[in-house]
Amino acid sequence: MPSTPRVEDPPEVGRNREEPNDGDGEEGYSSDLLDHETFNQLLEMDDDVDHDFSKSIVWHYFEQAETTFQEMDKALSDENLVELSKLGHFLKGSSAAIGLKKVKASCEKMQHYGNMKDETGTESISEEDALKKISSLLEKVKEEYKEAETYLKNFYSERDDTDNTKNTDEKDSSPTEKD
Amino acid sequence: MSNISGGPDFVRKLFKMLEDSSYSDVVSWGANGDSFVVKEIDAFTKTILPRHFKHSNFASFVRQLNKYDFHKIRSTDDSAGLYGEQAWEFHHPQFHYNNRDQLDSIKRKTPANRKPAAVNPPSDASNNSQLNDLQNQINNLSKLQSVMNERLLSLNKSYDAVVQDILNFKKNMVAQDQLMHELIQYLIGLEAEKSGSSRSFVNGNSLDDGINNTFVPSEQAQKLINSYTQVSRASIDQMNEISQRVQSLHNITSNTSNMNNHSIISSEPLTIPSTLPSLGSENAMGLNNNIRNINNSSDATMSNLFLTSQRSSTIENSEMSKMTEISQQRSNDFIPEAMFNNVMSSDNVTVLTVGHLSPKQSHASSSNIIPVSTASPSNVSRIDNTSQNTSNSMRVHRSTFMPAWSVPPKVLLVDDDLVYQKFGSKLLEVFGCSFDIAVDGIGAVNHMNMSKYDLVLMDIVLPNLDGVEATAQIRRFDNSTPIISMTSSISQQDCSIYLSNGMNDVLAKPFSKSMFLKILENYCSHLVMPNFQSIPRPFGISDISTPTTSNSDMFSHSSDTSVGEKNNDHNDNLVPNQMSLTVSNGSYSSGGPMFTIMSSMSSNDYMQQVMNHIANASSVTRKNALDKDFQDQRPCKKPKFEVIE
Repeated sequence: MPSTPRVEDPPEVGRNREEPNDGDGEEGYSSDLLDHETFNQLLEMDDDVDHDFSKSIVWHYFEQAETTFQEMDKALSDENLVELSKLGHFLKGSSAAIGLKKVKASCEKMQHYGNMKDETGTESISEEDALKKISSLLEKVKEEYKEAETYLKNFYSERDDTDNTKNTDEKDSSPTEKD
Repeated sequence: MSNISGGPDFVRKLFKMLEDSSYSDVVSWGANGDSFVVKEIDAFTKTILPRHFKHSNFASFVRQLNKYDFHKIRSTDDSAGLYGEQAWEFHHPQFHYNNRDQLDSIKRKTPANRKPAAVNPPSDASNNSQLNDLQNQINNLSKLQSVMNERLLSLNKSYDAVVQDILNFKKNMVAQDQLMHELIQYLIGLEAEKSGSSRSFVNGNSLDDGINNTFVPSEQAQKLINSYTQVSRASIDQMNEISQRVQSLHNITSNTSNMNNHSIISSEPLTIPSTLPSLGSENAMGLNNNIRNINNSSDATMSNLFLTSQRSSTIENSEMSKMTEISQQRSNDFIPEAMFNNVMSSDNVTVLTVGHLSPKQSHASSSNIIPVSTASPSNVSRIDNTSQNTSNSMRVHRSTFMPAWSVPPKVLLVDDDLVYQKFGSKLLEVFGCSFDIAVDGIGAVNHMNMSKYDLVLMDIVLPNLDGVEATAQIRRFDNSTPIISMTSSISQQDCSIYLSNGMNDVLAKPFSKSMFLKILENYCSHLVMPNFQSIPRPFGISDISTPTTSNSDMFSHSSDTSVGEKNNDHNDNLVPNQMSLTVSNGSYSSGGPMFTIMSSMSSNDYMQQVMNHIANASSVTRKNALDKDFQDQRPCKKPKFEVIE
């Protein structure tokens, strides 16, 4: 008998759910840079109300990446291919953990070049060739990293600004790239 | 004299020696020429033997002679006179003076000829000694045998003892299991009894009064039931939303908003009777009073919190009040005044549960409210149960799928990458493991040397000592601890290297939470509490990958009055789940007619559900969509049931 109208009440639910689609324009771009599935996994492990955990991981990643780039620069000037391959592998791992696809792919290439292989790791290349390729690749990785860093920093600063009620939906909402 | 041809060396030398007449005093042919005589043994040994035979050993000369079948001629009386006392005369049938040609036929005695002659004589003696030897050996062996037998016996005995021990142990284990089972059954029974007592009571009343005894015609009853489905659907929607909001608020805010709901409800009691059907107005008034009582007392306990509750949105409040109305209507329809305490208790629980979606502080609020609603003892324990459940659900929400460890696994995480260290630590923390971190291979080996781990997660590319080598070193002293390679290089070739160096499995980087959990579960399964797995699950739950959300779970506790009706409103997935809850309560309870009633009640309810299901086919489809959202939003439901059990 009573209360039929109340069923129609919950517009809030729907609205919350549609929100994620707002950022669609940039979604294609950022998914190239960032593997959302991996990154969301990090976010899912955050506490309900803040991002301390994922943020600390990302910030540690930044630190680690900066150091690694310095080491890469040095190894390149020393023409130390083995070290370059090792560093490539190292940064590849942590980039993959965050889901930074572009940086990861480039690091993988550096790993191969360092082993004096081509970018797929199948054909051998000369040492000279390898060094040349790495020096241009290193610049590219750094750019890609900067891009990722900006993106992530924006993401978190937006997060911090956003109303807390949005946090439950953090999985879906995609911050916009402001670079 | 010169060249002697034919015959063995020794014989030729002998012949040549005898031809030398200068030795005639010492050695010479015998008188008959068919023998030779050594007259002066001393002289012969010292002068002639060295010259012709390169040694000075008469015995050896005699042995040679014997070998060539020369025989010593016993000195008879006359011959003794002939050559002197000391003379040795040797004879060979073919050895004659001046007959050199026959020397060829003098041969060394063939071993075949000699053997029987040589071996036979000592054989008796050696037989004896051999016999003794053998006898001794046999004695030794039999001694050994008896010793072995004894040992075998003792081993058998200890084996029996061990088997006995194991059997006893098994028995004890079974007894322990049984005890645990009984304990759990008892606990479940206890809970079921409490919920059951109110539930069956209420259900009985609802069936009797609502359907059989009241003057409501059947179409109207149908309508009534339909309205229930709508009501509960609305409730779910609202609860869904409320819980979303509540979850998103800060702890304190949500807590206070919860309190605020209470107060709002109490502040607008007049709206309730107005929406009630006229026939239940007295009941509604009673209910209202109840609400006011409880809210007032909770207000008193929470007054300070209430002051800070301005943040809570009005929407929420109105929703809450609607909810209360709804449940009041429901209870008014079916439940006589006598039951209002129970109903209120369940309403209380509802509110509490909402509050409990936000952590910690809500705990305090629940404990505050418990003393308030001591109207009937079952109420108290109901609330207690629910608050336990909800606080569990909070904990579980944080540590999502945590397996029910009997002992938390101790894990060694080896990685030089800070990101993975952090990530791994977090996962291990979430899954309830204790852990250490090593940053290189040497550290890993040292850790393994110092303490015992249940699992090692090993990066491959490490400074100082890489993961494969570290594993190889660890395997020299520890063959059992599972070591999982944690790496991005997972080509078949790489993997076979890992495995051949003693690693047990590969966890590919970057890993996901579920991959990580799978490894944990695979290799630490022995640490999972067995009792929890052996306890039969309600049949519905196993069918559903992500069963009810905490919202709907909340409902199952909150409004016992309409379990069946509400089931109908949940989507198809939820129906068996709710059902199973009821049935499981019945099957767990170790007796008491109460539970039999309950089971039959639930089947009655189920009939209603089916009816309603048909009537509400369209709304159900909508519900499906909603509930899917619902489940997507919170996929961590199942563990909650495990914890509760």
